[in-house]
Amino acid sequence: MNQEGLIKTWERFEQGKDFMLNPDRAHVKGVADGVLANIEKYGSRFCPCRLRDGTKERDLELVCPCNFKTQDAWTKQERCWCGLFVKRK
Amino acid sequence: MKEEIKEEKKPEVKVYSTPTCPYCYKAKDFLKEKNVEFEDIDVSADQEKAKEMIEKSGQMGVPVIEINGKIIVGFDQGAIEEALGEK
Repeated sequence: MNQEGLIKTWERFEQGKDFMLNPDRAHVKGVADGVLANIEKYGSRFCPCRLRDGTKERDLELVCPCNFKTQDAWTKQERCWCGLFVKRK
Repeated sequence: MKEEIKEEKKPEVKVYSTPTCPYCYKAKDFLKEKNVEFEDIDVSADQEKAKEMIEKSGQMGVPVIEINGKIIVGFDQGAIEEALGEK
């Protein structure tokens, strides 16, 4: 998996949803690089902006794309914590 | 004649971050643009500091910015400026 491939999976994921990838492409690439670094280090697509606690159950919640609609950031700022996905206007 | 030198007190600023987080870089760039010195703490590499950040902020997301004891969770330009006394 490389940066382009990862972004393509996110583009497929957002199709037909009420959210989309952040229009700031540089930001999306930054998140992709962070996720790729975590794949390299931990073997999973962990969120680059939140810490793991090492427990399987909790760490699974950090696999990107996560269940970001339950987050405060989604309610208050209409984006996931990382700013990868934003509410579609 | 004795000259009085007025010293401006520098804010004490810490940025709890990870090297993989884009908003962490944005927060640090924002502080640099304002010529604010800060301690950059990589919580992915320091378990003790990670624990400290979680205790102070009550959550596990980065960045967390501490300015003179005030905790700011996430990259919030307005909150940073307010904590620096610019607003």
